[in-house]
Amino acid sequence: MNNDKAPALALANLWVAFTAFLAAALLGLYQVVERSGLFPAIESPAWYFAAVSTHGVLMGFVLTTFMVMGFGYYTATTSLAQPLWNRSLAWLSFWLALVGVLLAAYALLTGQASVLYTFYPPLRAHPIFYIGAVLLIVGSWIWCLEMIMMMITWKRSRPGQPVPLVMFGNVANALMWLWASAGVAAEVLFQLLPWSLGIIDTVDVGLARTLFAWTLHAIVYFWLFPAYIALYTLLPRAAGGRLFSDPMGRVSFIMLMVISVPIGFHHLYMDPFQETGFKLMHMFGTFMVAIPSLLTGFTIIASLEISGRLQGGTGLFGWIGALPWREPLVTAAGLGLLLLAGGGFGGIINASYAMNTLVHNTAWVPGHFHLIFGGTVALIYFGIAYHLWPKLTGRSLRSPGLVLTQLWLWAIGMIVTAVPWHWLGLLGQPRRISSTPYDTPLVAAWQPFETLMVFGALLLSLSAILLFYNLVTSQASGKSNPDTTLAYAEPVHAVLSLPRPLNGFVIWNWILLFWMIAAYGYPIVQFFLLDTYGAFPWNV
Amino acid sequence: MKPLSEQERRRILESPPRGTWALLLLFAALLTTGWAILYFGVFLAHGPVS
Repeated sequence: MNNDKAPALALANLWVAFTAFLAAALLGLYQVVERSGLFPAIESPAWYFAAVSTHGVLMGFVLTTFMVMGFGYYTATTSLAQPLWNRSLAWLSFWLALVGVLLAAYALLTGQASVLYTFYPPLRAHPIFYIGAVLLIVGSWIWCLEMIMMMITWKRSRPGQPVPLVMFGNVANALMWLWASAGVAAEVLFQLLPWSLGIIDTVDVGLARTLFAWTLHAIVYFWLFPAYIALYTLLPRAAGGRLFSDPMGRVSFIMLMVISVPIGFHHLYMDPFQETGFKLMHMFGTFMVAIPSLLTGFTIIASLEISGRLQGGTGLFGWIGALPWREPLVTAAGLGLLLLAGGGFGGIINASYAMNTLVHNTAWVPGHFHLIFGGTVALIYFGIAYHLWPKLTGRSLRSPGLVLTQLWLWAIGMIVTAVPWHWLGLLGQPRRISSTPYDTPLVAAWQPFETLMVFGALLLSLSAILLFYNLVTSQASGKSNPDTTLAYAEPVHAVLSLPRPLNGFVIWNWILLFWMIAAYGYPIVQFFLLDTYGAFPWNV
Repeated sequence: MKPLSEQERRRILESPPRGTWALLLLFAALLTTGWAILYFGVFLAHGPVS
């Protein structure tokens, strides 16, 4: 095995990601059962909010960050055919992030950080939670530096050559994350940490929510990036075809990098401290960020159509049945795109300034982000893991049948969970509640949907355990796989040269800088010009 | 399935993705219908804020 490919580092990152995922999935089952009201003996607001905070942090920050890092290190070294820029620093990023996770997990599991994954003040956590979060973010920044430096080093040795698409995507994600995480980093370092340490007595909630909104939407794309990169660069080959268009991938990655950061105020539509005009500006940006997802949907489905037709599929839709559905990445991507369609529909409702009032702070919102994250992102992460595992471990997947069962169970479980969740939102059930012990006809109408969600969560938990089982048994006792070369999809038309904006990011960083100043400049500065009032801490 | 000739293979690679366009049109139609149902049937049906 070639050490330049960094398989040990990638595997270490992926194991942390999927261990966190398993724990989070089981906590999710507890939350759904607790909320259902079917088992009064387990109802406990303290346990519920500790569980929901841990679930959110493990899924939203730990699974994703380690997945992004593991995927990035491995695909960077294999696509560029060069070693890591700084191997020791890359391992340092892993250990820093892991120590951060363990610190945060201690605070979460002991009930000292039941502040939900958004950790909005005036909910206040133990300082260890914020210190853990800082270490995790710093670890991810080192990963960003590795990606950027690897691309720069590669370009210097091959002037004018197109950067491989997979690496172009990794660097777009790294740059986007550096921009996006600055908001939450400022919030934690200058507000929440001093506040939790007792250095300051109160915190400006409006400023904190504005800084978190800076990060909150872009983080979704930080999660999505490896999934999209895999769709463009691994899936077409796994499906036995070609990528429909390489430049289309670059345009999508650039648009995701530039547009996804300056649009966070759709999370603040109902908050009073930002002006309507700024919210409207962010709303237009939010609709624009649908464009790269539509471009991706088109390019990937077109690539699959080519694959299906090359394998004998005919007619308008006959190519769908001809695709190699026994290939885990193909099934994961197909199911993931299906759930993305549903999640995208919900997102358009959320993003609409007026219609947002219909679903704001209701169960619709977690239903929506579970379809996008738990549906699309998680499913494609599973597909990536199954695709990379034989390359990383040198062993084949032990039971392909169980792999497919796991993917289908997850998709069905997510639909059975998330669809009633949306419906509950339309029926007016608020989100962020542990139970609804009110004897009213409205609450009674929620019960069938909550019961249905319990079945969905059971399927999801079973699938999560099966994923872990598949990965462990494949690595421990799968058949030896001598072919550890990771091959990437070839585009239909080979890319021999590219205009500079499609092969680098300088101009896009400038555009993003100006957009960020316009989108967040005055909305942040106003807190230092106007009289605002600090809030004292609340605890669950 | 019998193997494709190089000419047939080239034809598939160069063909416009008709099935993809059809799927996306179907998706757009479903999206528009869903949005209209929510906007006219649920959102406007709530009436003005009182």
